Amino acid sequence: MASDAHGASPGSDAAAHGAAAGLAHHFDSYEQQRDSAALGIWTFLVTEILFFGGLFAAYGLYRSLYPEVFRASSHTLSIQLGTFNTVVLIASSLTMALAVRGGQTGKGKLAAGFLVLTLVLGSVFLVVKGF
Amino acid sequence: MIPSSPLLPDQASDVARSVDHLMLFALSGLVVFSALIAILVLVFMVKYRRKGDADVGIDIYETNPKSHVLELVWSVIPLGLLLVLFGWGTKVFFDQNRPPADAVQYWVTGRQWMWKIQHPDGRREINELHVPVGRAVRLKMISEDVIHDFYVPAFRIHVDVLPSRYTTYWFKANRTGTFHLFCGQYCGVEHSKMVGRIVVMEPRAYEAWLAGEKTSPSASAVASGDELFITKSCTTCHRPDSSARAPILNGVFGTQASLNDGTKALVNEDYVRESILNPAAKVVAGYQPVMPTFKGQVSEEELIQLVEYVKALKAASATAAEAGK
Amino acid sequence: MTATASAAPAAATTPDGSPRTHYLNAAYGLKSWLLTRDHKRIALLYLVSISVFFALGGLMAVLIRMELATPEGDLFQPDIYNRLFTMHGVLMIFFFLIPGIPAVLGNFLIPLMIGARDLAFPRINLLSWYLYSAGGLLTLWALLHGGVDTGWTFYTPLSTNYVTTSVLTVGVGIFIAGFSSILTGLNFVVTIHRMRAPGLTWFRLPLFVWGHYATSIIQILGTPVVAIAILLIAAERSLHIGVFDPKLGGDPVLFQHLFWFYSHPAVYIMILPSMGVISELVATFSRKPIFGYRFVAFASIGIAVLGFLVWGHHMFVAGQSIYAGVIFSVLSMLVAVPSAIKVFNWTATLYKGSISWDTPMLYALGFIGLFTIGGLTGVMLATLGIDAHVHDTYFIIAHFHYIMVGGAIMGYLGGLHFWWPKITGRMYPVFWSKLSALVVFVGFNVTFFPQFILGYLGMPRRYHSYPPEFQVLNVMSSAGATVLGLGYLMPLIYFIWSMRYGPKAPANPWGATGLEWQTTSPPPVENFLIQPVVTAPPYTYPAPKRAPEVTVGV
Repeated sequence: MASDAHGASPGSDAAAHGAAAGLAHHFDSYEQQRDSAALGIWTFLVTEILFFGGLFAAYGLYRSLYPEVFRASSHTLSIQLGTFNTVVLIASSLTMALAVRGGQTGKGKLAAGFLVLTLVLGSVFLVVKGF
Repeated sequence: MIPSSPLLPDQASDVARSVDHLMLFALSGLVVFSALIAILVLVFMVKYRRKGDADVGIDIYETNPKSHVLELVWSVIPLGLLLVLFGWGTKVFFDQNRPPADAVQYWVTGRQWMWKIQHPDGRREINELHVPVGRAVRLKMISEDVIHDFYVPAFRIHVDVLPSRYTTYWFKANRTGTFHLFCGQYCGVEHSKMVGRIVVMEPRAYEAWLAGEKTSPSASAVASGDELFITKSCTTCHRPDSSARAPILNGVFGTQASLNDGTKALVNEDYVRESILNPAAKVVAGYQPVMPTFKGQVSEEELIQLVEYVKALKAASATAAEAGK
Repeated sequence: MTATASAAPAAATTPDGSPRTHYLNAAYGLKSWLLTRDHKRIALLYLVSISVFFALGGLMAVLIRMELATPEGDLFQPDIYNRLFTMHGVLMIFFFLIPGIPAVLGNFLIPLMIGARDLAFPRINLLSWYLYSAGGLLTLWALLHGGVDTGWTFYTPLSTNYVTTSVLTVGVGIFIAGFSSILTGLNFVVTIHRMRAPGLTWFRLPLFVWGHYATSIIQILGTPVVAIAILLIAAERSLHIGVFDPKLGGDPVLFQHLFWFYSHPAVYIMILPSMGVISELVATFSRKPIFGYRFVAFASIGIAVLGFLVWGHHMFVAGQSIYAGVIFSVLSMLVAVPSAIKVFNWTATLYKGSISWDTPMLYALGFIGLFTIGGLTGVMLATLGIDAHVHDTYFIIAHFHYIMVGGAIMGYLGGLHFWWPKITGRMYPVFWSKLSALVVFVGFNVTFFPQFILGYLGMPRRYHSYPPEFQVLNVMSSAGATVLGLGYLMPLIYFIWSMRYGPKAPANPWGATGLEWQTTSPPPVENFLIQPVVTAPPYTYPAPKRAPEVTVGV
């Protein structure tokens, strides 16, 4: 096994490239890499559940305490903007999935393009929220 | 003057004494276990000091069948002691938080950075509270701004003072003296200056103080509340004669009110205060939510007076009912 | 010089036996450090950053103790004093103790201890450091603009409606740093699950790894909740949504629930890694396995789980129902039991051990004593009747400093002294290291023991000025703080000195077990020249002293 004396990323040494394309240097097999990625994403989702869970808990608490206030303020929201934003949100999910597909089929530039599009759509969502 | 004390603050109530006893028990446990660990560590450190480069330790865990028993023993015994401590602590805590029925009610308003204390007869003090020894005192407290905390080390109790609802502090001083009052919850720039004194006096000295007070006692809280009830136009709807617009308040304090969503609520100080500031939150069954809010139009002190007035209407119901017959 | 490691040892090592090429000299230049994906380099990046924050937080502590030497508030305006203690807390907790051992020792050692080449997600590891640095820089920027004066606990409505300081900026800084913590936890969990060497079953893992696994669970589950609490404060301050404002129908105590739901488990984030270090030190310097390995491993998990159930013990007098207080009190008693088990097990390990008085062991033994006292005072605080008296007094301050400083920091220093030769390939001067351990121990006790007494006497915390009868104990405490500061300065000096002038360290200077000692000091970039295979339980002594040059297993 060659020890890399140049470059900061040990993953870029020739032996790894020759051994297996797409396998990061610190993993022993594709299986390990895939399992680790899957566990990583699930763990991240758990943190997201707790993140939004706290927010939803606060929301739920106040909604149950002051239902008439929530009812009244819901009438101040715009149905048009809400629908538009929903479309934007779903479209951004689509572009994200297409980005993942691009990554899986080795089309790096396409994947990057879709990621940028997803970011743009996400920003649009936020801006519309401001109104 | 407030005497200094080497290790214990003044012990000015029976509750304080029971806290100190509890603390002594806990402290003994701490000393025993810490000493045990410290001594064992030091003894083992010296007795089993490494003898040479090839010296290794002897693993007794795997070989000794009693290891698991030992683990169990030193899990269960501490747990038992902890539960005893828990039980005793709970009992003391209940004593700290449950005023006796004969406690006299005072009112405390905390605000950055002073304490405003109101006696039941209306007398007001700032940052000081004079009481006769042996009187059980219940303080109903509220904050005008941020969270404060009423802390008298001599009574061994803290209670936070909240801006959203009343909290209760109680004590019964069993000796005379002057004791520190501190604000025990960080509340801004002059937090360390939000301090005062609790002055516990012999009955004669207390009478003398009452008589010698330079400021004449202002009207009692109930009398001020009565006046506010009229000037704020509460009488427009809340009339003792039968009126369809608003619930009759005579005798209502302390009862369970049936609300229009089917639930019940106890009519206590918090309920009355909330009904004035946010009437739509709880509406009595059979009535419309037409009461306007008085938020911003009454101070916390005025709210205290109105609460005391409504409380006092309890007694009036009996006589009013008799007069009406 | 490009070196290709081969099976022949001669080319891989210099004449004195140390490796020719390792992770420190494999590449030079700022980019090779700032864009590294090597967990060992990232650990060093963290070491530098957290040392900076520790120094800043420590400076604030010095200023606080200087003020408190006299009863009047005569050194600083109260406004400035309030910012000092707030920033001391914020910097020490969020930017020193919480990243602390996991970010430095955990990052460096976990892959080595499990026989892996790196963590599961090296780029996310680097991102963690950048997030931490971004949060830290934001907080420092706020500090330069006056900092915050709400106390590190940010209680509402003080923090939302009554102060004009940079609550938003510091809040965002902590929020960002929180994600650093979450990602580190995530990285460790996946790494420990998926990247263990062949033969390394869960119950062959070093207890250091168990401790970090438990810590990571807490980081993952708890940190998001404080993120929400901070977001709500930000929303309240900027948009006045009213969630904590009683004038708008909100409840200020709700903030305390959200805040302490994280911040209590957070204290276990700060202590569990340190306990993991202590297990390694006690085993190594007694040359025997930890007594009751499985009990200690499960105790870590038990602390992590139970730690989520006790947050209300910070709110016994906050207006919480007294019945809720009862439940939180009994649960808090329960969480003390696994910690007690660990202390007894470490002590039992010493029995019939072969104990050497090396510096790391001195720190470990100090930890055992001080953590016992700190933990037992914690039990006092879980006792409702006592807490009602000493809540928010110096008793609380003494309690948590016994755990955080007497416990967590002693573990951190012990760990640094233990693994320093592995990390840098150098040894530090032994006399000075032992002396500084003694100075730290003495200075610490003189600083914080009087505070227990002050607290019971009734001196509240966060007080800028105090009644004169408290002065003697305060002066004692401030004197101790000077000594403690000196004790911290010494390692800073000799560690830096050792990197240039310290004698070169062999692969296994302590004769310790553990895979990290089976590779060179410092390790190569890939950690191991040959994939280790584990065939024995942990802590099997005697351990080989030299790194295997050509071996097939451990």
